[in-house]
Amino acid sequence: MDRSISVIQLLPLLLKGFGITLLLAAVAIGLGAVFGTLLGSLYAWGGRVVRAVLFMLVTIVRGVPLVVQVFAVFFMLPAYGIKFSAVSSAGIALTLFASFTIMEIVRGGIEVVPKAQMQAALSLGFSYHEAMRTIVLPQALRSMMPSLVNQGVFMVKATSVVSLFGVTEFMYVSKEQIERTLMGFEIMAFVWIAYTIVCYPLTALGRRFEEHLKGRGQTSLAGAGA
Amino acid sequence: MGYHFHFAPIWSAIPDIWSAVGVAALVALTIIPLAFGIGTAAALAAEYGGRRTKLAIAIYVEAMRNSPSLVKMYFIFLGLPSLGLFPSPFWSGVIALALHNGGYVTEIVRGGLAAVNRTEVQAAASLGFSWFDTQRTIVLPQALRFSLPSLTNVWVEMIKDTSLTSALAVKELFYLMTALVSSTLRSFEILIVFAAIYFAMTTLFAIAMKIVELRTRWK
Repeated sequence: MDRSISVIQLLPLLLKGFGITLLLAAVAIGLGAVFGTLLGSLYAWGGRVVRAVLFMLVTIVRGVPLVVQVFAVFFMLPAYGIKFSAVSSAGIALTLFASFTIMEIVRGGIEVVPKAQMQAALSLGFSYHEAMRTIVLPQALRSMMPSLVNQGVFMVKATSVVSLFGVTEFMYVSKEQIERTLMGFEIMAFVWIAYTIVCYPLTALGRRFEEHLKGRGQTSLAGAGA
Repeated sequence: MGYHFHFAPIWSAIPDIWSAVGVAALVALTIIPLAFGIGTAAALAAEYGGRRTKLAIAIYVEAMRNSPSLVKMYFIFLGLPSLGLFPSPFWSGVIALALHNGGYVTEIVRGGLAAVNRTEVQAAASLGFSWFDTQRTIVLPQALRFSLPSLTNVWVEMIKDTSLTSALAVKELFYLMTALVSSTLRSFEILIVFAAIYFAMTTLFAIAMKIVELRTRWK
C-alpha cells in the first residue's frame, strides 16, 4: 500500500468520473422530463387502451429492480443489432426509467386538479387553452414540484448502478482507485461527501416545496419516487 | 426475426435459482425489520429528544438520503478494513441497506407521529400511562397506520435494492442472473425469467401490505 498518495492526487480522476455521473443524471432528468410529460399527458387524457398499456409498462418499471432494467438495455439492444457505447446505453436505460417515473408524477399532478374547475372555467367563457394555461397547469405543476425534485435526487443517486456494467462514472472510477491504492476509507468518504454536496440542496428544495404545499392545505402526491 | 426461444438452460438452473431467491429473501427479510427498527427509534428520538439528539438524527437522515446506497455498501466493505474491521459481503450489504433505508423510514414515521393528536399523549399521561406504554399502545399504532402506504413503498424499494448486494458478490438473484447469462448466453430468456421473479416478489409483497392496510383501517 502506498500511503504517500493522497485523495488530492486522485482528484482529477475521481472528478472526471463524477462529471460523467452528473452528465448521465442531467440527460436522464432532462429527457425524462420531456418524455415523462408527454407520456403523463397521454396517460391522463388518453383512451382506455393507451392507459392500459402505460399502466402495464409503469407497473413493470416500478416492480423490477433498476439493475435488471439497465441489464435489459445493455444486452437487448445488441441482440437487435443496435450497438451503443456503454455510456450511451446507460443514458438510454436511465432515461427510460426516468420517463416512466416522471410520467406517474405528471399524471398524478394533472388528476389532482378537479375536473369541475375546467368545466367552470369553460362555462365562464375561458377557451380550453386559456383554462389549461391559467387554471389547471399552475395547480398541477405546484403539486408536482416536490415529487419532481425528489425524483431528480433519486436519478442522481440511481446513476451509480450503471457502475455494475462497467460505465466509468463516479462509483466505478472510485472503486477502481480503491483497488489500486487500497484507500477505501478515504475515497469512499470523499464519494459520499461529493454526492451529498450535489443532492442535499435539491433535497432541501424539495422539502421547501413540500412545506409550501402544506401551507396551502394541499398534500403532495404520496409515494411518487422514493 | 429468427430467434428461437430456448429455456432449457434455465430449467437445469432451477436449484440455483431457488437458492438465489432464498438469499434475496433473506437479505430483504433482514433489512426490512432492521430499517424499520432504526427508523422508528430515530423518529421517536427526534420527536422527544433534546436539541443534540434532534441534530444527530437530522444529520443521519441527510447522510443517508443524499447518496446512493452503493456508497454506503462500498464504504463498509472497502472502507472499514482501513480501520481493521472486515465485515463479510453479506453483512456489509445488509447493514448498508438497513442504514440507508432507515433514513427514509425515519422521515416517514416522523410524519406519522406528527399526525397523532398531541392531546392523546397528555390524556394518556394523566391516566397514568408511562411514556413507553403511551407510545406502544396509543401513539405508534396510529402513527404506523398513517405511515403504512409510504412504508410499503420503501419496503418495495428495499426488496428491489437486494439486487445491489450483487456488487459485493452476494449470490442473490441478480448475481446468478449475470452468471447464467455469461455461461449460457441465453440473455433474453434469462432476463424474462428473472424480471418475472423480481416482479412477483415485489407485487406479492405490495398486495400483502395492501391487505394489512385494509385490515388495520379504522372501522
